[in-house]
Amino acid sequence: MSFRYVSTLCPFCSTGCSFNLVVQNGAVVAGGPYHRSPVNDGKTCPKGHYAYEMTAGKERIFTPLIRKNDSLTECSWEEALACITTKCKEYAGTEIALIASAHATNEDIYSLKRLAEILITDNFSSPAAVGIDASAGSIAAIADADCIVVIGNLALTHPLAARRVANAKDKGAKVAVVDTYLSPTTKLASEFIQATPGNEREAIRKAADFIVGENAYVLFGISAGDAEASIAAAALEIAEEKGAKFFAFPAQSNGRGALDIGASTPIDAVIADEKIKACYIMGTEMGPVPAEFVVVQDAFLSVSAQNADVVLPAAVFAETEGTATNAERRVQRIHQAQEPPEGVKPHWKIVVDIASALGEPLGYETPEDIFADITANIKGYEGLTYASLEKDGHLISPRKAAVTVGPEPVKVKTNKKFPLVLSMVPTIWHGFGTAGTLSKNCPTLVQEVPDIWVGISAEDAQKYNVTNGRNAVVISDTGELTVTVKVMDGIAPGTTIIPAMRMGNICACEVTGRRKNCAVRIEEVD
Amino acid sequence: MSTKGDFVYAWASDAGMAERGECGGAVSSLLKYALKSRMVDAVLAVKKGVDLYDAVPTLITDPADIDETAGSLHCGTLLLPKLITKYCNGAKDTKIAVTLKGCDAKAMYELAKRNQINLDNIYMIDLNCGGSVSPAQARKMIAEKFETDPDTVIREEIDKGQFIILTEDHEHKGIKIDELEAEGYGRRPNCQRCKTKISRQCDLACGNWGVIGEKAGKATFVEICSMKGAALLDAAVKEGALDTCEPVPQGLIIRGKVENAMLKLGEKCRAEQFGNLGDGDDRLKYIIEKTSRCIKCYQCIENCPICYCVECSTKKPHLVPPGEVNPPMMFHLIRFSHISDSCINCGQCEELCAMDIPNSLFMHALQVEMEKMFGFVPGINMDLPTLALVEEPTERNRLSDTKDDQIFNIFA
Repeated sequence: MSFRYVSTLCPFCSTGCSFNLVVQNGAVVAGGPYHRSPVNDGKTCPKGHYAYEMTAGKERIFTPLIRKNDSLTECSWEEALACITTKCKEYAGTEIALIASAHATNEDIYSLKRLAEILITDNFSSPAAVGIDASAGSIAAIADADCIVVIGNLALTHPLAARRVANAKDKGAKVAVVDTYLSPTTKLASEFIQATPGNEREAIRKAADFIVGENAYVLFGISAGDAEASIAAAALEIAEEKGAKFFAFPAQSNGRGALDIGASTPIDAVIADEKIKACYIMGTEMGPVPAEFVVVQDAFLSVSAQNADVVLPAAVFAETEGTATNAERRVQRIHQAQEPPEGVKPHWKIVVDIASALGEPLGYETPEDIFADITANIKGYEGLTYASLEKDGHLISPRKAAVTVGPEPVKVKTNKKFPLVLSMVPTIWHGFGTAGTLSKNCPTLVQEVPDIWVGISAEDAQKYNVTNGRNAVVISDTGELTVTVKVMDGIAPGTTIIPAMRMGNICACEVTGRRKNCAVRIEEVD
Repeated sequence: MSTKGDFVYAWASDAGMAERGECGGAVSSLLKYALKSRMVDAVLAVKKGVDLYDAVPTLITDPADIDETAGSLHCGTLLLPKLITKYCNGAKDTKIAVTLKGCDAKAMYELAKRNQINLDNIYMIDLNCGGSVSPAQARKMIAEKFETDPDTVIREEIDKGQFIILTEDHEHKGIKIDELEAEGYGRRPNCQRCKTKISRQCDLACGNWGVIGEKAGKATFVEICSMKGAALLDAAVKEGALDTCEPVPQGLIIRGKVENAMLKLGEKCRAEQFGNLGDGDDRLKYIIEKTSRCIKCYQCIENCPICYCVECSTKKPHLVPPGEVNPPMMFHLIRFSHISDSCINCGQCEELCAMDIPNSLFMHALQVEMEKMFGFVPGINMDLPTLALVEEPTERNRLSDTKDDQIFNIFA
C-alpha cells in the first residue's frame, strides 16, 4: 500500500495548469488536484482532469517501427537509428525539415533545435509557428480587468483562462465576446458579436467601440477563421488603439516555449516547401506527410506515424522531466511521475541518441543539462534553474506583441451546390489540432463525444430537411463525412459548425481539407 | 488510565520532536508511536511541499518519516478521507492513523456509512480547526492586505480572532479575521460557515486552544473522545513517547470560550451567506444562473466525499447528454438530490470548480434546510441519512399499493 502525488503540467492547452499525478507502485493511476498551483489554484478542465489516462492510451507504441515492403514492421532501436543516420546523410540541409511538437518540453524542443543545427537546416518549425506571439503578464491578473474583449471560444479552448474572465465579470467588468456562434464563452459576456468566415476583422473592429476603462484586455483565443495571423493583427490593432493589454493564447501547451526556443519558421511555409524531401516530426500530428523520407517520434501511432518510414516510440508527459512555457510566458516544471515503458524513451533522449549516431554527440545526460543550455542561449530564460522553478515557476516579463500579418481572410463562397458555410470550432473534450492525438487516448474524454457532429440553426435544419439527433452527410468540394445533426440555438442561418476532432476515421478535415472553413451542403441519410 | 471524556495537556517526550512539532509535538509523537508499535500499518497526514502554502498528502509507513509531517499548515485545504477510499482500499485490509480537520472527520463517517471506509481500522486524530485558507488566497491576502511578500513568511496562524503572520525578519503582523473576510479575503467561505471546530467524533481531538500557563505553546490540548483514543494515548505515555499533565482548569474554560466564539461566528457567516442567496424562486434563479457556467470538469464529483458511485448518474446519457457544454441544469440537480442530505460542507466542490461556481454554498444551504426538516445531521455519527429511511422499489410499491401521494412519508 502506497501512493504519492507528483505535480506536473497539463499537456493540452497553453493556460499552463498544474495538477498532481497519483502514483502507486511506480505507475500513474489517477490525477488529483494540486491546490498550490500558481496558475489554476488546483482547478482543471475535463482535459486536465483526465489527461493521466493517456499514459495507458490504446494507440501507444512501444517499439521502433520501420517501413519494409510498404508496411511498418517492428525493429530494434539500432536498426531504426542506423536507417535514420544513413538517410539523413543523403539529403542536403535545405531538403530537411524538423517539426517539433509544441506540446513537448522546452528540453525536447531545444534538443531538436540542436539536431537541426547538426543537419544544417533552417527548416525548424512547430505547429505553434503561426505568426502570433503575445503575452501580457499574468493570467490571474485578468480577473482584475474592468473591460475584456474575448475573440474566440476561450471557455472551451483555454477554460482556466476563461475562468478569469468570469471572475472579472463577477467583479463588474464589461465583457464582449466575438465568436462564430453563441458559444459557452458568450455566456460570460454582456455583449456578443457574431463573426462569420471572412468578416472576422469587421467583427473585431465592432468590438473596439466596446473597450473602455483603465485596465482593459483583448484576449485572442484560437480563431475559427483561416488567416489566423491577420485576424490576430486586427485584434492587436484594436488593443493598441484603446490601450488595452493584448494576450494571444497558443493552442498548444508549450506553444510559447517552442517559439522562444526558435521552432518558429512559419509552419505553413515548411509544409508548402516543395524542396523538402526528408521530414523529422517530433510528437505532433501532421496528417500524412508527403516527403520522400519521414521519421516520426511519438508516444502514439498518429496518422503521420502510420505513414512514416521510421517510427520511434516516445514518452508521454507523465514520463518525462522538463519545463514548459505557458501563454503568460511562465516557465514551469514538469515532474516525471513514472518511468517510460520498456523500449520507450523521452523525446529529448531519442534526439540525443540520433545525434550520437550521427557522430555529433550533444553531451546531454539529463534534461537539466539541456535546460542549462537553454538558460545560456534563450532570451528570458537567463539564470533559471530547476530549483528556482519549483515554487511558482518563473514569469518572464511581457514583451511587445509580435503578429506577422499573413494572408487576408477570405469570405467563404457559397453556391447552389454548397449553400452553407462550415466553420471548425473547438470542443472542450478534444485537444485542438495536434492535441487531438492526446485526447483520443483518454477514454473518458472520448466517451463524452465519441462521434462527430454538425451544428445547424433550426431554420436551416428545416430548410435542408435534417433532424436533430439523426445522421446526415456533410459534403464539400474536398470530401464528405457522416455526422450527427445538432440543432442549436445561436447559430446564424447560413452557417454551420463542426468540432475540430480527429479520431480514427473521423476527422473534420475530411470535409474542410487543410482549411478551418469551407462551403458545404448537408443531406440527411438513413 | 485515561478514559473517554478526559482532557490532558500532552507533549513529545523527545525534545527534538517537541521542538519540530506544533505545540510540543504531541500529535507527531502519537502518530510515530502508533506506527512504531504496529498499532497501525500506515499514517496518512500532510507534509510541507514547496512552501508553507503547499500541503502535500503523504502516506507514511516508516516511523522516521513522521518528522516530515511535523508542524501546522493552515493552507492545507485538502480532504484526506477520499484518498483512503481511492488509494488505500478504504482501510479494509490495513490499519491507518489519520489527521483530520472537522470536515475530514465528518467525511470519514459519511464514507464509512457508504461502506467506503472501515472505521474499525482507523485511528482518527482531530486537529482543532478554526478554518483554512486556500494557498492562492493566502498568498494574495498576504501580499495585498499585509503588504508583505508571501515568500518571506515563515509562519501563519489564526489566533484570538486575528490572522497572524511571522516573517523571516521576525516581524509579527496581525489583522482581524472579520475585517479580512468582509473584504473577501481570509478563510474559505465554507470554513467561515463551519461549526465543527473540535470534532469529537474522532478518537482524540488535539489543538492549542486552552493551553495556558507554563505549558502555553509547549503542549497540545488533547480531548479523549473514545476508548480507542484513550488506549492509544495511554500506550504512548506508557512507552515513553508522550508526556502528559492535567490541564489548567482555566484553560478548559478558555478552550470552551474559543470554541463557542468560533461557533457563533460560523452561525453569523451562515446567516449572511445563505441570506445573500435569497429565498424560493430568487434562490433557484441565482443557482441556475451561477451553475450555467459549468464546463463539466467533474472535479466536484471526483472530490466529493459523499459521491462514491462507480456509475455516476451524471454520466448516464438519458439524464445528461454526453459531451454537452455547458451541461443542462439536470447535471446539477443530480448532484443536489444525491448529495445535499449528507453534505458535510468540506468545500472541495467549490474550491476545485473550474468556473468558481459556489457549489458548496448551494449544497450546504440545502443541507441545512433538510436538517431542519428531517433532523439528520451528517458526519457526526453512523446514523443513516434521511433518504435511506426508504428503499426506492419498496417506496414505489407502497405508493402504488396505497395510492398515497406522500413520498418518503416517514410517519407512516
